Amino acid sequence: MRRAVTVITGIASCALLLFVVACGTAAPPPSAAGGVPEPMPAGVKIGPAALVGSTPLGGKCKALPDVAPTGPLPAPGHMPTGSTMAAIKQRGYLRVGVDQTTLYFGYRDSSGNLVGFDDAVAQQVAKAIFGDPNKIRYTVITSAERIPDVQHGVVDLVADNMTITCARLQLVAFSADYYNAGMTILVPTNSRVTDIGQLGGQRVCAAAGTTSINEVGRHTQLIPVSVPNWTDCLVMLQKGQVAAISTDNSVLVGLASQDPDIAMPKTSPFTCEPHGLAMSNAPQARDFVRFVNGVLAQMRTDGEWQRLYDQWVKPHLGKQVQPQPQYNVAVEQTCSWLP
Amino acid sequence: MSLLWGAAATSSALRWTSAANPIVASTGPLTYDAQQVYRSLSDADATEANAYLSGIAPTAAITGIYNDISRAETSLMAVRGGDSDQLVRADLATLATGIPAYTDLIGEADAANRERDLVGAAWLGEASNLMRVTLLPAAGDLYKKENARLNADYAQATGLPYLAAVAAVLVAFAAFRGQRWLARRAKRVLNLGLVAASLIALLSLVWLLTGFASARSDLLAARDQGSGPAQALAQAEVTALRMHSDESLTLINRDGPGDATERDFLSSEQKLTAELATAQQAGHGSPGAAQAAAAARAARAWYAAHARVSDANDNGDYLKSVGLAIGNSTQAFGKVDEALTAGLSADQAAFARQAGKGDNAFGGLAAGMLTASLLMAAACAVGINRRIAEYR
Repeated sequence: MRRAVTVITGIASCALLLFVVACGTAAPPPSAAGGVPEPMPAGVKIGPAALVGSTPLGGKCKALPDVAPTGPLPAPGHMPTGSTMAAIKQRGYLRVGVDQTTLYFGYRDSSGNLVGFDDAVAQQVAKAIFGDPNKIRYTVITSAERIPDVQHGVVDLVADNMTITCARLQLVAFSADYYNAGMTILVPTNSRVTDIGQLGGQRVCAAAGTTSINEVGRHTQLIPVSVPNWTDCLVMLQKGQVAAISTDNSVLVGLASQDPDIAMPKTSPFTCEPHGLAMSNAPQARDFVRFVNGVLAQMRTDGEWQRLYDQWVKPHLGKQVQPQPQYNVAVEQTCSWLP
Repeated sequence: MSLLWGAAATSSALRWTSAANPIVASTGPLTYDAQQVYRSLSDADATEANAYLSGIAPTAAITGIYNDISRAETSLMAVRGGDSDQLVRADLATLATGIPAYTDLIGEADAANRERDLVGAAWLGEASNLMRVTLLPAAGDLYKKENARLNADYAQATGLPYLAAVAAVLVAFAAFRGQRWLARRAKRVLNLGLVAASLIALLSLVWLLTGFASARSDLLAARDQGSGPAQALAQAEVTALRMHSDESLTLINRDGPGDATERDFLSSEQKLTAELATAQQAGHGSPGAAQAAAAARAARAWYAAHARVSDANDNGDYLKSVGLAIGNSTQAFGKVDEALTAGLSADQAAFARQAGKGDNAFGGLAAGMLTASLLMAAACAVGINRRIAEYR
């Protein structure tokens, strides 16, 4: 009897033992958890947020100080004492803000040099100050940084596909118009879209802080998408995340050449956008604006503008002559493609 | 009583084994795998940025990047297979979908770069952004969690057997009282059965304690000369890779002095120095200690090389800056990376060896304790029955 009791107690204790020491809970079966959303360029903004910092075309400009050149340019290396150019000469180099993603105008070539039509025009300014076009230090900037960098003195000059507008003329000074561009669209070659108005309800990309994204926003049936750099728009178009890119044909022609499956439709551009070099609009810097306008006038007389245009832009966008100079008005320019 | 002793001893033994065994079989390897994901992804990021800066996607770099991604994915699959814990599920999902997305972006960047298209830099920028903002934080979090589990297992496997100690005292007391009671009642001093039971108890106690002591020292060695120093070295390596990537990105973006990635490099210099100091301290006596010291020396040379890169850039000599970055500075970084990788291998080997020994020292302990307790119970039963039988 006792033995039986002992045995039973033993077994019960063993069971208790195992229960006590056993551990481990059954793990629930894994359910499908979420992964990453589709990657997009850093800093992308979709919808109304895309329009922040952009500037409208047109409007009427308030009266602005005269910045026409007053006489012949000083000889290179001999800037008037106390002038802005003398300070630049003293420093030893001109600081210029440029793009590195716009083919033909401002881009990094395969050797790593920054080149393009905009850069070449800036080099003419450096040559006029130093006698040497290479006394330049480029800073690569995004479209949104163009105005702040001029205002804060990070650069002396911005040469970056920048449209002269009345709104911008309140913040920075512009040289005379040195190039006319017109806005159009870039779409996949198999798309039937020929006009921005046909893109109703779809996403259209442009760089942040530009007249382009502002213009996209004006077409209220479109969904504006802004990115820091133009090539970010190209990535989104290639991935099908946007239906089109819309900006100056000067920018679009470079993007189109990087992908055989996208093209500008054969229709004409629908805006007329004069491009200027941006500089500080502080009163004490006005002599520099006159100086730059003088350089542009000299480029007209000695044919340098035409040489540079024919070298960099003509193979891709056809013929153009240097626009007539108008100073400090945001131009009611007539472009040949607008009626 | 004997069953109580059996229960307590076996439970202690099982607690240890249930922690020691995973250290060797799962949490240890999982931590290493999570570490591999983190390191491989960091390496891919740095290699890609450096390759872009050097020119148009040199083939050796592409192979290197795809090897890294391959390593990361294999390690990730191991973690997924070995760890179904709720906590890491989000990280695993992020990495499982994010790594292929990253590979796609790199592929597009390389294709564009081969055509010498500017858009290649934009693809690269998007890839780098995905890596830094999404993938690396997920990998880092995964590693942290696995490491925490490993540390918990260490604590459990080397924890003192309080339960067994209490039980041992109680059993000794009961055995003593029991024998005295029997001796008085039965007019015999010694009861063979109970004596046998006491002996078994004593032997099993000795076995428990020696097994524990030996295993504990092995597991602590596994931690202090293996996985502990390895963790410090892995952290340093990830920081160094990030800095190498920063240097390339600064020159690719050309934002000018005060650029965000340049600032990150400089603040990371201090971080890396501190991490290498921690690694040297933690690794004292470990096989990786010499390598940690070598890495610290190489890091100082690297900072000097980088200073020359940013000086050239600040002076506007961009091409010279790029030349120094892909030349001297990359070589100097290479020495740091080499030392860290060698140290990690040595520490990992030490971990595997010591953890294996520790697990073996626990071998059979749980089964042995259970058997001993049953034998004790049987011996007691026999002994008591004998006495009782005498009265029948």
